[in-house]
Amino acid sequence: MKNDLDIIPSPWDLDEKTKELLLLQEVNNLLNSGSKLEVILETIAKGLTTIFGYNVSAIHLLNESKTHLVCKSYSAESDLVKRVEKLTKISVLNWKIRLFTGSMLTQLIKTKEPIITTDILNLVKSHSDTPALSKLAGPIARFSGIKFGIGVPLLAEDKIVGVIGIGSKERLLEKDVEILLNFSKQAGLAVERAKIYEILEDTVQERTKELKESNEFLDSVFNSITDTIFIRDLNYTIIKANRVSEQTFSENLVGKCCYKVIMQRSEPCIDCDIDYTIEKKEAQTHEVYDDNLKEHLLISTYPIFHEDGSLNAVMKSIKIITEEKRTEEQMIRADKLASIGRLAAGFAHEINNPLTNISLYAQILHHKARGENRQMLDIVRSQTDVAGRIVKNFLKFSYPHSENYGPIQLNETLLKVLAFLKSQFRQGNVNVECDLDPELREIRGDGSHLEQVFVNILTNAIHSIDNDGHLKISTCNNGEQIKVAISDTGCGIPKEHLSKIFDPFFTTKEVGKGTGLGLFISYGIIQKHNGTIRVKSDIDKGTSFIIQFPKLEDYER
Amino acid sequence: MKDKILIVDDDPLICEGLTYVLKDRYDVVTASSGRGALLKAETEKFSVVLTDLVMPGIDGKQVLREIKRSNPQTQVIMITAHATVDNAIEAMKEGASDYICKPFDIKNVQKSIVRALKEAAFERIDYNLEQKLDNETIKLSISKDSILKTLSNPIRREAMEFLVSGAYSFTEILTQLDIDDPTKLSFHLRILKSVKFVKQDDYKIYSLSHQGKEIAKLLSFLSQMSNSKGTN
Repeated sequence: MKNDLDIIPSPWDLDEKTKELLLLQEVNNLLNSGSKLEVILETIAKGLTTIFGYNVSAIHLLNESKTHLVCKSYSAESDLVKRVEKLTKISVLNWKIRLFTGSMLTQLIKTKEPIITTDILNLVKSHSDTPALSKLAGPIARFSGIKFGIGVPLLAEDKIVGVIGIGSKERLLEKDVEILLNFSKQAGLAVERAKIYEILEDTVQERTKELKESNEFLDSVFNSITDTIFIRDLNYTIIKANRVSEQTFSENLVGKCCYKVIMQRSEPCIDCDIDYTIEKKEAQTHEVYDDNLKEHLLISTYPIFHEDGSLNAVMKSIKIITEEKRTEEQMIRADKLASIGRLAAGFAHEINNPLTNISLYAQILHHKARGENRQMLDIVRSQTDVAGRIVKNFLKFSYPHSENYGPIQLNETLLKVLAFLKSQFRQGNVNVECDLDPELREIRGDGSHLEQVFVNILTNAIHSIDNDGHLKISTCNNGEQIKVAISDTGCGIPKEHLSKIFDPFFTTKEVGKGTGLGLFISYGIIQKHNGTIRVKSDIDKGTSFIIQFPKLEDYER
Repeated sequence: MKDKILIVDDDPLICEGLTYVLKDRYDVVTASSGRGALLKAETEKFSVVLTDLVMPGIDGKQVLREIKRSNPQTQVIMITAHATVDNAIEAMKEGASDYICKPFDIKNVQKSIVRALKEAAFERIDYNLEQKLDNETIKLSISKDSILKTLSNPIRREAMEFLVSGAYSFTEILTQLDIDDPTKLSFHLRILKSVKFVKQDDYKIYSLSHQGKEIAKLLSFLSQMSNSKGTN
């Protein structure tokens, strides 16, 4: 703090009015520079001793409920206060003086009339109704030899805000009272203003803190969202981005131009969804498949408005929904296959009776026929057998056989199937690699049905490999599931076929070479085993089937 | 005298066709409903009843129950679409001697009837088995009643007799016994396992248990007897 007091030659050289103005100017300067109340009070107290030349001064302010006067500042000879504090074990600053009804100080506050005394010790003794004042004023008077005292109200207009106390070794005159009363009117206003400033400042600080906390909370909410989210203004600049977005795009987006940082383009994208949202002024949502990420994305854009309804910015969120999409597709597929299954089963059931009759009468005729006729009836019989097998497969799909369910070790099942298909592998020059987990747990199932599943998948794999291919079969325990993965280096399945491969009669083989029932039935069998089948395929690279079954629980044995 | 056979199916073509096939060897009667079958069974005694499983009104299972109740010697063979194989197996548990899936091979129908007749013959002489069991000193872990029940089925007897010569896989037994439907054999082997006549090792190979061997000895004695009676 700049101390103007140093340049003043000697307070005694100035006249009283000048002293008063000097101190008030100092106080006003402090007030205008936004100084704290305590600094202003300190300046007043100090000014009263250094400029006005009193021996001791103290400024007490009325507390909120007006029950006490609280000492907020004081000024005295070098160690006077220290000695008093040591003796009385009282801390002078913030010392509270209780205002008992009818006491000397209560009277002062009520009447706004100053008190003047020529013998502080005597005054204190004769006014035992203010013990807190006596406790301090007595020792001060005794230690310093101060006898004369004045108490004046600190006034802000008509309102009394406190009391200024003055002590002096030299006699105090009516003139002093007059000067102090005048000064206190100015000082009181300054104190009141400083008090208001302080309350304002506290409020501002509190609001700032609240705002900061609320901002921090919003930030943490924003950052805890696991989807990529950022906010873009109307001019392609990203103004906010959450933590995930930083990971997604490997850099902090804030302050950057969206099409440059995200799309690596030199100008805005033609089909910008944020621009569309700005145009439409309403939230948009759409799903896309990202070829680079190999993920399904759910992209939403939300307009953010100013209070007056005008558009402020747009928030964009990108959520990876590949898993949800897969589940949804699986459910749709399961549902579709179930209804196809029901339809086919009903159909097969109806076909079965006439088929039985065709077969029965063909057999009777066959028995009687000779030569060419017999050969032709052979064809009728073998064809009804083919039809019968298709019907049988359909019925198998729709009606579970649970009779033969038992503990199954899939490694054994696979080895059996591999042995069965050995010659086919050799013919197609397929190199088979097995990575079977020796610790593989059992599942509950029907061995012959599961063999059929693997035969179907492996046969398809062999067919997909033109010549010289690689086939990898692996098994492992995967938590509560038993996993079988079959990957080939064949021609792969076109994307548009992937959703259809489990449909009945879907085949890419020539007419008559495949029934198109293999995977349909495999799917049904896997479902009966509470298992799942997933397929991944890349054209010209190969196809992987991942089949999982729940492991056999001990109680199922 | 020819054995009397009743064919029950709501499809007249099946009844006619089967009659045509079987009429030379058996005395064939047909019924087009469960109700009709039961009415005929009240007045006539049949050695074998071939009944469709799914029929409107009284179905094959009810026909089986009623006939087995009123005339336990009559053997019942179920004819079924694949869809109802589970039901057919249920029916076997309730005393049907066999089931045949549609569409069927006539040879299999004939085989099944021959087996059922053998079974009937076996049941006629089961008091011999009872006596034999009473005289046996071997301690068996199951009741005489369940032994008789287990052995009353010709497929199960054939399987036991085959296993006397060694240990075999499922497919080998299937081929040896010339059974068209693996489910059927699996059903019978399961029963033999449950009464501990047959055991299965870690490689899923079937063989006779100690108890099974003792039973097989009795069987060979009895099958000689039943053969000699059958030819009479």
